[in-house]
Amino acid sequence: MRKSAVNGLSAITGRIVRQRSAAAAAIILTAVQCGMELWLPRLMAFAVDEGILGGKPEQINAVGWKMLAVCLVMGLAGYGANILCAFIGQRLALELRGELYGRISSMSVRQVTELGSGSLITRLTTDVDICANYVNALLLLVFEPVLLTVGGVMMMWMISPSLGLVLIAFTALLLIIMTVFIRNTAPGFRKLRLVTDRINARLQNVLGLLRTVKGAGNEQREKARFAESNRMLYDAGFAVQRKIAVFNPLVMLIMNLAVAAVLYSAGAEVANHSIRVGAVLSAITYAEQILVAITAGGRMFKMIAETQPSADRLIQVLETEPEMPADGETLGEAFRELRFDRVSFGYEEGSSVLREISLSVERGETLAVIGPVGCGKSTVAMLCARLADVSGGRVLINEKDIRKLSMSELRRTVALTEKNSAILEGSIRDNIVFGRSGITDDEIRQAVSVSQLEELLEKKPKGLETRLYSMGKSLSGGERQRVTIARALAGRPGLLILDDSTSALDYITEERLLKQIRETYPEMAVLLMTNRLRSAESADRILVLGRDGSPAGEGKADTLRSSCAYYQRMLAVRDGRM
Amino acid sequence: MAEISFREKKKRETVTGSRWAVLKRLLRSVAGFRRMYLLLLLLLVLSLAVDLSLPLIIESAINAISFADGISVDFPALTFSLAVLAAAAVFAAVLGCAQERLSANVTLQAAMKIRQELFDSLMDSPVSQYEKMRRGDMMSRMTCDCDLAAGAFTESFKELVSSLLVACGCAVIMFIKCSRLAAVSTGSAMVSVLLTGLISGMIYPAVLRQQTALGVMNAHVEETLKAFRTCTACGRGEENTRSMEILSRQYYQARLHANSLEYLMGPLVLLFGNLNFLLTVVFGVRMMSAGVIGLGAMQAFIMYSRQFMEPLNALGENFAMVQSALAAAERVFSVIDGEKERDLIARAAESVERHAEDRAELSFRELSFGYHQNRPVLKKLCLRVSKGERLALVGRTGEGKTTLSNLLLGFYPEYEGEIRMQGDEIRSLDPGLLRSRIAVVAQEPQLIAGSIYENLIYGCGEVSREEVLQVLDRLGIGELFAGFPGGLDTGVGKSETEMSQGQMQLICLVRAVLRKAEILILDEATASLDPCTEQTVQKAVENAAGGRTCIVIAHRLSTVRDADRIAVLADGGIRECGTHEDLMQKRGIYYELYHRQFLGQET
Repeated sequence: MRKSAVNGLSAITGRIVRQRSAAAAAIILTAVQCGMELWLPRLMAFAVDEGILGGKPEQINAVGWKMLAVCLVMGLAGYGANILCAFIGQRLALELRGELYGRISSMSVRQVTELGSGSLITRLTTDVDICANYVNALLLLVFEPVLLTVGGVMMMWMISPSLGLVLIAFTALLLIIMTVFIRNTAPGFRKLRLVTDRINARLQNVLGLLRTVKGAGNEQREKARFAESNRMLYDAGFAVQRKIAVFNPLVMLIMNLAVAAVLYSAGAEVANHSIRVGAVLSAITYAEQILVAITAGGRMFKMIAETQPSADRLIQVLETEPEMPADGETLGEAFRELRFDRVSFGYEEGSSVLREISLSVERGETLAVIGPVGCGKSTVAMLCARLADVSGGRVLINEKDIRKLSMSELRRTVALTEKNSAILEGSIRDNIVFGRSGITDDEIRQAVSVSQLEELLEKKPKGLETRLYSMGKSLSGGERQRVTIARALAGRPGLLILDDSTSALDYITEERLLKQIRETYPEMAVLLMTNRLRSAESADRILVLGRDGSPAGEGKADTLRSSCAYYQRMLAVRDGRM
Repeated sequence: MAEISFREKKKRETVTGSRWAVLKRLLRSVAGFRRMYLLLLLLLVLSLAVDLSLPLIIESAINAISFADGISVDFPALTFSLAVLAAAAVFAAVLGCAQERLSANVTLQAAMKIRQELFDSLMDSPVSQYEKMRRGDMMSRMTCDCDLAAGAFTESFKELVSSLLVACGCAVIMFIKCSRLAAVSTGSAMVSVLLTGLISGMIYPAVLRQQTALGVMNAHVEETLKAFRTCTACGRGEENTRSMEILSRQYYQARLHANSLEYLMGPLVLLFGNLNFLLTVVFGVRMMSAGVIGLGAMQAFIMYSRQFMEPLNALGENFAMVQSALAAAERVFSVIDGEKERDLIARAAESVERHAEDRAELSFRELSFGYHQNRPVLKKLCLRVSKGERLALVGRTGEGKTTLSNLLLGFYPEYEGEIRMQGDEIRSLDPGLLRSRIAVVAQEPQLIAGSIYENLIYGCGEVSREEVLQVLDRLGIGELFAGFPGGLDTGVGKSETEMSQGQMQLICLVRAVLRKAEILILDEATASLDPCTEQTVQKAVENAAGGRTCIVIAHRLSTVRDADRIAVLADGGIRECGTHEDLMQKRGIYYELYHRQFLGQET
């Protein structure tokens, strides 16, 4: 993961400032709660000392009522603080989710692919939750223990400085042990996380491939392989757990020893009459209160260790600047022409998929793009729809660089359909309208009819309202492709791109579809990436790309027949002359 | 929000499902760790006994301080008590370490065992069942649920045992010391525990609503991010962001509502604890002034009544933990105990004739099948393929060509009629053995995470690198993979964007050739290739296939023209069958398809 300039955790923590009044109120309430908690043992000591040893039993009831009042105030303050902390945490989560999702939406496909959609899902769900819980706990796990510790030591000091010293010594001891402990276990946790991530990635992959696994008869091997991973997971887990197992008993030990030490010095103090017996009881209570509070605070260290990577991942997303700003000019006129002006493209520095490609497709025209595997047909489609930006040259619509156009204008003008375009959960109608406003029923009907979906809809009793499942599981490949084509057509784009998106249709259906597009939408420009020579021939012109992504010929089918070697080979293959 | 209420109902049903059955199943699964659990129990009892004795030791120490009149201190007694206290504390720590370590170990081992069982049964489950599950759902079963089932089980085992022992121990000791004070102390503790329990029960619906809202929001995130490319290309970003805002806010509200109830619990528990402390102190002081108990006993009471309350308070939390452990266990075991592919096949094979006289390589007789009831894809289909034959299967989209290959592989054994391989009904064969005899290149190529090379040899048994290189050369695609940065050792599965569908298909093709199966099925295996590459590869695959039986499913008729026989699939059956010439003469469906493709004429 790329290291961010900003520490994620402090950035997240800093966001609490946005809820400063709630935070301030929470702190005040926590302080009240702690004050009450510290007052209680004193009242008890008073009851013992005055009520019994002082021989004034009538005092006991009065003290009892006082204690009751203290308890109630403490409960109310505690509840208020808790609610406020929850509010701060959830408010932060709400804002984070909104910002993250908005930021991701404005990223380019390349950026999202680089971050990984699976990873982004985790960030938006689990990581946000972890950060919210951290912020929520921060006030409760930090302020409360600090206030209780400081207050407790002060109270002890007031009873007797020597008891205060004993308590300070044990507090320090506990802090040291906790620090050492956290240092000691952190690498183990990191390793566990690494192992888990690696194994999950592989698991995710295998679980998606059951047909392949079974088809290859590899079930037993996969089981054995998983057993190995499983063992690694156990080893990494146990390496951490065996260390953690020491922690609680150790803390308990220190606590008990602290009580013993307090009792011993209290005994000495009582013997030389500097404190009274009731104070001994409250001293024990303070000692326990403080040590319990510190242990609770110790959870914060674990929490910080857990939250750190989550926070870093969130900040990384928030700091990723969208490559393609959404705003820009409008076209101001109807689509006339799309032109590639010596366009080059590579996915990364040094690699090159397209080399100096020039092409143009005009209103009402169909241009087919063909070429061997890996020649960059899909890349051309992607660049037209600006899913990525060119590395060299320009893509122009009506002679305007598409990088200057606003995204919404571009999306209205250019509609891209791909071989595996996604289907979202919802009705067929939802999947055609796809969240765009102003698409009429007529436009939908027309798109459905042109994309040869009527036949499918007739089979479904609910017609357009038939529910589709996520990723279109209930549809065949060809049906999915036709729904995505209908989606594109319904928006009446200036340019329609069919990037192998009719590959799962049989020839008759495909032919009918292409023909009806031409008839129904005479103004539309169509860019057709295909492996089928037959469909390419139905286009007005054909562009041939060579294996290395350079142009290998362009023109009408007849011209290519005589001038382009690759085209000739394709023909020969089809006609069975090879 | 009809959708939500439906899911809610479903969730409730699973939660209230037969919990005992799940618990029994879980117990059966961890039965192998019986000894470890017994040892854990022993350690628990021991360390609890030590813990319970600590307040008694402290009592004697305090009594030594408030010796006689409460002013003079009995130092020898105090030192002795504190020495005992220190020793007991050390002993308790040692026991505690051993106990925690053991419990961590047994938890991890149990989780490991359950996870393996789950993975194994996923591998053994029938394709039809498996593909109904969501992958994300399966992942969470594999990761969270296994840990939760095992972890929460051990944890609640420990907690229940220690709650019970501690509560009983405290009560007994308190009653022995002073029954009146004990009655006050335990009585108030019981009342407060009952009250907290009652309130926490009221929280459940709110938590459920929160979980439902979370589920809906996460589903939206997952779906839209997976479909990011399409959504971007179609300009759906804003709409998605709007929906996200609404769902996110709904979750926020549900969560805050649930929290406002949940967070009542902490302060409430604290309040009750303090009230209990208060009552103990007020009554204790009275008892002291009446001379019934000493100061030490009073301190012991304060400690015991706290120890008595703690496990009782945790009971509610514990119960929730047991619940979630059982819910997780149920999700895991419903898969583990689900029907296995072998059983499904065996069941389907019960009423079929195992062997037939006809030893044809492949024969389909009166084959009927549909993925959904009342919607048959294949209707009484008959087809016979002889050894070494090259059969092409053509037909329009959705006619069931791929279904036929799925049935042949035994992925859907619930068909009517019969499929025989050299006379044996395929359902009577071991599915692993059956599949080892058939190599399929599927329409949608799938790659495993690993290098290109690992993908090429996946499921091919023993092959040498030379052999792989030879096959690549023979197919004329050696140079295609040389272009990747790491050559054949380039990792795939992650950066699928960098690899085109065509390249992925080629990898699967090579894999099929390397497998040396008797029957080769190419299901649109070259649809993502351009015609020229396709032709080169096709020819080479045929050569490589040698005398193997080969079934080619294709749209592109140029790839099937040279087949020995072409079968046309329509309306769920084979409508035409013969060589290219035969079928052209017949002027039927094939003729029409052919003309469309090559001559562009409607006939």
